Amino acid sequence: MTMTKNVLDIKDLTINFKSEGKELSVVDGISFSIKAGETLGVVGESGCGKSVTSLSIMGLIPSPPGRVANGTIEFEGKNLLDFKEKEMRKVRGNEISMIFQEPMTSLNPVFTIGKQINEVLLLHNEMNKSAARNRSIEMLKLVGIPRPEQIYHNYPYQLSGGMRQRVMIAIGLACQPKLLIADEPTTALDVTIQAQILNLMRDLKEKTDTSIMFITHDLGVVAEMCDRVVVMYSGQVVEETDVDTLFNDPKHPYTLGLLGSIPKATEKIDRLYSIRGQVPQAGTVERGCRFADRCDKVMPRCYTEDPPLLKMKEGHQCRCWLYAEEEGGAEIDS
Amino acid sequence: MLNFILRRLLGMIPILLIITIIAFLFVHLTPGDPIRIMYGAEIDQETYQQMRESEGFNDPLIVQYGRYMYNMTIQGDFGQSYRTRSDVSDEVLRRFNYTFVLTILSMFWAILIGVTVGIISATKRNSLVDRVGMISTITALSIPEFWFGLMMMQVFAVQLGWFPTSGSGTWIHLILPSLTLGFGVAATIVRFTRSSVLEVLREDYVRTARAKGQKESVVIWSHVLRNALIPVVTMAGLQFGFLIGGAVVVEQVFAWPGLGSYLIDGILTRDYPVIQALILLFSLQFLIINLLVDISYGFLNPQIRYE
Repeated sequence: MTMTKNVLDIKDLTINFKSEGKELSVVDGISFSIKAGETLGVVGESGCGKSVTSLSIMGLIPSPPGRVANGTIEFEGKNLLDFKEKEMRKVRGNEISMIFQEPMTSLNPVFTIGKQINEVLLLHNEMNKSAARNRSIEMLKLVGIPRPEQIYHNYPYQLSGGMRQRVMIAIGLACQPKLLIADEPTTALDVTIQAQILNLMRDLKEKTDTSIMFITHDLGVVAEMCDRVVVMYSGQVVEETDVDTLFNDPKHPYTLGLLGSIPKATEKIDRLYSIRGQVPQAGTVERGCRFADRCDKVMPRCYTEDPPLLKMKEGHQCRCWLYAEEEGGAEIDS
Repeated sequence: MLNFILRRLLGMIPILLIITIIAFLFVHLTPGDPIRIMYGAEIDQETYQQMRESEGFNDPLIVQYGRYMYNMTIQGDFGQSYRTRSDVSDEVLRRFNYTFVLTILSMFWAILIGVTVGIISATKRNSLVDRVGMISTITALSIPEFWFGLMMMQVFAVQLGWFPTSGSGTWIHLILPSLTLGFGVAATIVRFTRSSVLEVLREDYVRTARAKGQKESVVIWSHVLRNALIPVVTMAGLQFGFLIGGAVVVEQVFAWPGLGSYLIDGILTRDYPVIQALILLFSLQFLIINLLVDISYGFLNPQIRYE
């Protein structure tokens, strides 16, 4: 395997949100990286901090109440957190772009599709309107929109959800970004449309060699799309590994629980497994493992000491006391 | 589009017809006799009866209404003022210009101040600017226009001497009355714009615009404002009706020779043709403004099509 450099390198990122006078760490010291041309899946339940992490990369955390309290977000070797707003604007939509969960509401209803793609092109490129128009139509063609010249003049309400998400992808890729953050891009779509959008994203990734940070709670989508996976729980990374290991040799009880909750077509069961309990509100667990209350393999130690990220093998880490002695896992951070 | 406008204009006819009936009954059933008011006790019973007869007051109401409608629609004659004996239509046309300029300028102030302050308040929510803005709007909404007009006159005309106290003739005469009239409406527009902008700011497409790397000023003044204005325009249209009413008071305070003072004089002397013509005119204005508001939707909201 050739050494590819990291496009994105997040270290010890902590994001706090103020709520009723108290500051809670919604994201608590997470670290991960994305290599050039790689698709990284970020998996977790709602409220685990996935979306906040992605917004922090874009510098779009609503502040107040949110703020980045600690850590670095290095993009191509430069810490984005040091960037001024004006410099950050040159990164957004240009070098890093983002597509969102809700295609129905993510496009501005009063502007034409063409105008909304042109906007990002004109912001980041030296081109005139007619060049932008040609490029927009080209982009619409690229994301598989039929009759692009006509759709160019249409308004969002005239398009279906799947078509709108294609337009969002066109906007996202218009300036050939190095990193595309996709925040649950298929969650709001019908299953058949989901498959179409995923195929489209995979095709485009091969064509453009853009790195993708794919945020989802759907492990099926992860298997389909990703090279590596970060599993997040309550603002922390609990497991990080390549996608094969995730499905064949998962370690963390939470990951096991997630995998166990997927119905299998080959087995007939009375009742689908589910992880008991609920995600604790961010910042409410003061000591010990955050998953302890819901864990099937909980030990006394889990309630008193924070588990560190342990190295299982090269490129596979897991935050669980189960593996502290037996595997001889080396502590990576605490 | 043209079809839509034509249909709406035709739809106004029955509404205006009903308004003529209401206006007619309103003036004729209100206690007070125009001839007694005008001549008082100077005339004897016989002359009084003669005058009533010649004005047609002794005919049944339905006959009087028929005559009024016949003169207006077929002859284009809105009648003569009992007081001045001049044609109502001439006088209305002459004064209409004054009121028109006054209300348009007031609306201009109202929208200019209202939308600007509303946006600033919303984007700087809970800041000092926002709080001062919100307190000012409550104050502006609570102050009666005549008093506010007198205060403006006292400060800017009497004390500072920047503007003439009252009267007409130049553009400078128009500043104080139009500001007085526009202020109350501005306050309503501020509150409406603020809440509308706050709502739109939470929309996903605002986040999309920011994620494109767009400047915050463009996000607010283009992406947000275009969407936030849709409800504001509706409300501003309705406020225009309120403005016509307010103009009556403000014209009186600043001795502005518009329709307002004409209407008040008309009501005081039970000058039936004047009152009827003005009620009809104000209603028509209101209908036309509503039509303009509906047409403007088409430009603001692409989902609206006029079929």
